[in-house]
Order: sequence, then structure tokens, then C-alpha cells
Amino acid sequence: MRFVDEFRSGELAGGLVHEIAEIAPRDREVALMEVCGGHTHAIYKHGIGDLLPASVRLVHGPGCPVCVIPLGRVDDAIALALEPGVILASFGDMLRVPGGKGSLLEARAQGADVRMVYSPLDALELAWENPEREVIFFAIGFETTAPSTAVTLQRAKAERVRNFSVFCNHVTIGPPLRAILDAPELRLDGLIAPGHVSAVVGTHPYDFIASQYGRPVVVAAFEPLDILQSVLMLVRQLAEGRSEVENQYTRVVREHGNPRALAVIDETMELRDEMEWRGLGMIPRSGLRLREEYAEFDAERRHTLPGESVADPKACQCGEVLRGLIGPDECRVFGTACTPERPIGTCMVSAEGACAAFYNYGRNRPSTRGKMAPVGERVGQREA
Amino acid sequence: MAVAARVLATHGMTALVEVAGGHEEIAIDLVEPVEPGELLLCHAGIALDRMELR
Repeated sequence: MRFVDEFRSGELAGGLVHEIAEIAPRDREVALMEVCGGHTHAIYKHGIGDLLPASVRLVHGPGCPVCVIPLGRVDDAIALALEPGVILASFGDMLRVPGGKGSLLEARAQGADVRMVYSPLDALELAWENPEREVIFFAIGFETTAPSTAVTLQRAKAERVRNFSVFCNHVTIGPPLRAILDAPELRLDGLIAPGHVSAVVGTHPYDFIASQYGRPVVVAAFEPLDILQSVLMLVRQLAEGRSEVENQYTRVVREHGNPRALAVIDETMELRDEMEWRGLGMIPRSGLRLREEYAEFDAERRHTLPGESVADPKACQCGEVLRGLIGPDECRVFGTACTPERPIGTCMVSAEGACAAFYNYGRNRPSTRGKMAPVGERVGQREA
Repeated sequence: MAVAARVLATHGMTALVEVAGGHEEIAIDLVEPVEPGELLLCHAGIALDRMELR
């Protein structure tokens, strides 16, 4: 199949694995964070971790958009869904995420009109089909998804749709990476940056990681050969003492991203002063809200929300998984109380969540427990 | 996840694309004009960019 077979050749994979093994250090561990949940899913699905030398460890990052939504925002969405006359629409995974007071699917069981959509444009269509109702789109996602919401808002404004609004929870990729790099409890030697976010934002948003933190970055696509090549590029940078932002996903990602996508986001949305992230807490200027010019479509302006910060269940360790501090199977409820059928935490809900990916593809492999090297053992690069 | 899709036809700001063996309609506001046969990176009902296989 085009765009698949080319990137799954076992022969080429063997060559890349051999090259990585030749370059990788033998005396200490290299920790590389794959930021994106799509990469995490592909790594487990294709068993890429098993192909790498023992000294190269992949650490899961915070790039699963469903996983980073805090419980309080889910509760806010449920409160919106329970308002009379409202149809609340969102992506399928988001409906299953437990908040402090249940999930949106459970709210539907209580009588709320909750719909699953594939695109915010589908939610706008719902508004056309139900002129007597207010349709609220529960928007989540990084810069990959924000353009779709932005185009929907532009169309809603142009078409003067009065019964449509957006509960905006879009987030940006740079600030959480800085928060992770600033955290003293985790040491990373390099980052595999998200390919599809980068299709929109380009490679510049990662420059600070190389220049300020001295860590190499490779923007990567999602097939097995893409990921292996990205690991090779990172290991090579480390071996040569370089810290640069390199682009492996050249078939899509350009240095400056897609300026038209960035322009529609900028026209419709602006940075919030701060945004709460699951596992990472409040991060300044990391989330987006609708601009004043789009206030009539802003569910947060049109409705009164509970707006409460809700702590994770005590048993749930999604926060530590999202920060790369523990592997999925190191969570105390992984695969027992928390499963894809009955998730406690967000990481077990989405296919891009580290726990769901590990449960589906890796739980019968040898444990990842205790493989993290101590803080301070860093390979050939300058300190931040 | 975003996926690769091949353009089959366009009308206005919408394209009919082939993706994973099926057909879907997507918005092409961010990439137009596009021609049948072109490959697009699509996510959440919209084309994010063109793809080039090198």
C-alpha cells in the first residue's frame, strides 16, 4: 500500500537498527522522549522498543491530546451538556474520558444530548440541522486540530450561524515541553517531536530546546522506518556532540509549517494567561481561547461553567505517565482496575494514550519497570 | 492522527478524497487550489497540507 509499505521494510529496518547499535553508547543509557501519542502508539504496535539496543530507552511524552485534558474541564463539558436545549458534540475518545463526576457518555445516559463527531465541521452541520437547539463543540487538541476548529469558526461567522459555539480547550506544544525539561526528576537526552503538529507550526517552535537546553530534536513521521531513522538521527547528534533541530518528516513538514493554518488559528484564537494540564498543572500561555471577535461563538462567554480544578483519583498515575516518570505498567492500577473497557485515567482511554497502547500491544512483553537511569547521567552534551 | 488521502474531485472548498480504502469529504480551505491525484495530509475533516513522496 502506498505510503505504508515504503516505510515498513524489514530489510531497511534491520539496517537502521544496526546503525543505531553501532553509534549508541554502551556504557550508559540514552533517554529519548517521543512527545506525540501517535508515536507512542506506533512504537508499541510495531515493537520498536524491542529492536533498540539496551542503552536506548524511549520515554513517553505528553502529546496525547485527550490525555492532557484535566478532570475539571471534562466536568465543565458535562455541565454544558446538561443545560436545556444543548447538543454537546466532541470526538469519540473525549466522550469516554472520566471527569470528577463521570464521563460525557454517562451524562448521555442521564439524558444529556451528547453526540460523537469526526470534525468540528460536523458539529456546525448539526447546528444547521437543529436550529432550535444550541450546538456546542467541545474542542480539544494541539495545533494539529486547532486549524479545523478555526476554519469551522470562520464558516460559522460567515454563515451567521447563531446556535453554534465552541468550548475551546486547544493547547500548544512548546510550553509543556519546557515544563518537562525544567522538571528536575526526569533527565532526557533528546526529543522525537510530533510530525503532524509540526506540519502546522513548522520546526521553529523547538529551537529553544536545542539552543537553551542543549538537547537534540528530530521532527518525525509515524511509520516504523520513520521512527527508527529519527532515533538514529538523535543518537548521531549525541555521538557528535550536536544539539540541533532536524526534520525527518520532510514529505510533509516545512521549516515554517503551513502559514495559512497558522493564520486561521491566529485570526480566531489567542493565548490564555495560563491553562491547566493533566499531570503538569498550570502552565503559562499554553492554551488557546477564542478572540473577542469570535465572542459570540465562545461557550465560555455564553454559559456559566463550574470552572473547578479537580484532583485525579488517588489510584490514577496518569500524571506521572504523561511526564515520562513511569512506564504504563508501573502504574498501580494498570491492567487491573484500569483497562480500556473501564478506564480510570485518560492515558487508558485514547488509542494514542501510552497506557492504552501498552495494554493493546505490549503488556505481554517484558516489563519496562526500573529501566530509567539516574538523573545526571547524561550523554555527551552541554547542560542547560 | 492525521492521515494521507488522495484527491478524487473538488467542489468549492470541499474535496472528495480516498483514504484507507474509503471515500470522505474534507475541507480544503488551507490548501486550495488542489487537483485530483494530489496527496493531502488530513485531520479532523480538514486538509492540513500537501504531501510529497521523495
